Amino acid sequence: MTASRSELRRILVVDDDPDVRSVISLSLGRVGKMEVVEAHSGHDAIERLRRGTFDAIVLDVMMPGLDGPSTLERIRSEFGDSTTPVIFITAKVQPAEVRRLIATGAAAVIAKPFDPMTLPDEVRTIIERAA
Amino acid sequence: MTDDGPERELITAIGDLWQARSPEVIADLEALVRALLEIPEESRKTDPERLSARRDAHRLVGVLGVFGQQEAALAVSDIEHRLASEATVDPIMLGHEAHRIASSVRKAARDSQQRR
Repeated sequence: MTASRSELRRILVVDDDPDVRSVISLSLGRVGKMEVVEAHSGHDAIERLRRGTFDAIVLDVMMPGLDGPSTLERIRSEFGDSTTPVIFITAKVQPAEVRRLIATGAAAVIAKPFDPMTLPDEVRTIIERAA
Repeated sequence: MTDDGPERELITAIGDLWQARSPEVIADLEALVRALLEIPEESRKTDPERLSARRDAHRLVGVLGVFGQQEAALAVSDIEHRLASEATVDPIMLGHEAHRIASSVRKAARDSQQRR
């Protein structure tokens, strides 16, 4: 089923940096009109996923403790969820690194710094492509 | 007529956030200068001082980038890259470079505050 562009999307944003989280949330919330839930770590993300479902997960790669790829692995194994698109966000966007991240099961990789004006469209397109 | 309300709202919100957070970001850049100067002259890529400075630099690249400080983000990214890839680094030169970035971000934050 192709999702309507006007459908309210619920996004989990996972990043250990509060400033990066805030800007992603402002972008997806104000421009994208999406509902955003923030998590400050991989463990926090797992907790949020136990309490609700999301249309997509925007996941930082380099985080202390449980990093992005390990968090994704936990999500796939603990929740048996292979359909919710996970979008990695990273400053390391060399082709080999992007291939490695996609191989972990991510739907897409978005480079930091991202454009907060176009981020909602990118996320929406990735959700629609994964549906 | 285009509805640019949400976009304008976003620019204002990010600008407000930058005004509130820039003193701390500048303090973090100054902390990076100190962290770089603590790296021993004959360091290896895996030395704890170097790894710690690299982590600090990585975090700053992300923060400066989301606040639209692209030039500073690229310059810190270069420091991060050199810490990660070069067999030997010159801590004093890197410290000077980070200090220059901190001064430039401080000026940009001051200019942006005056324009508002």
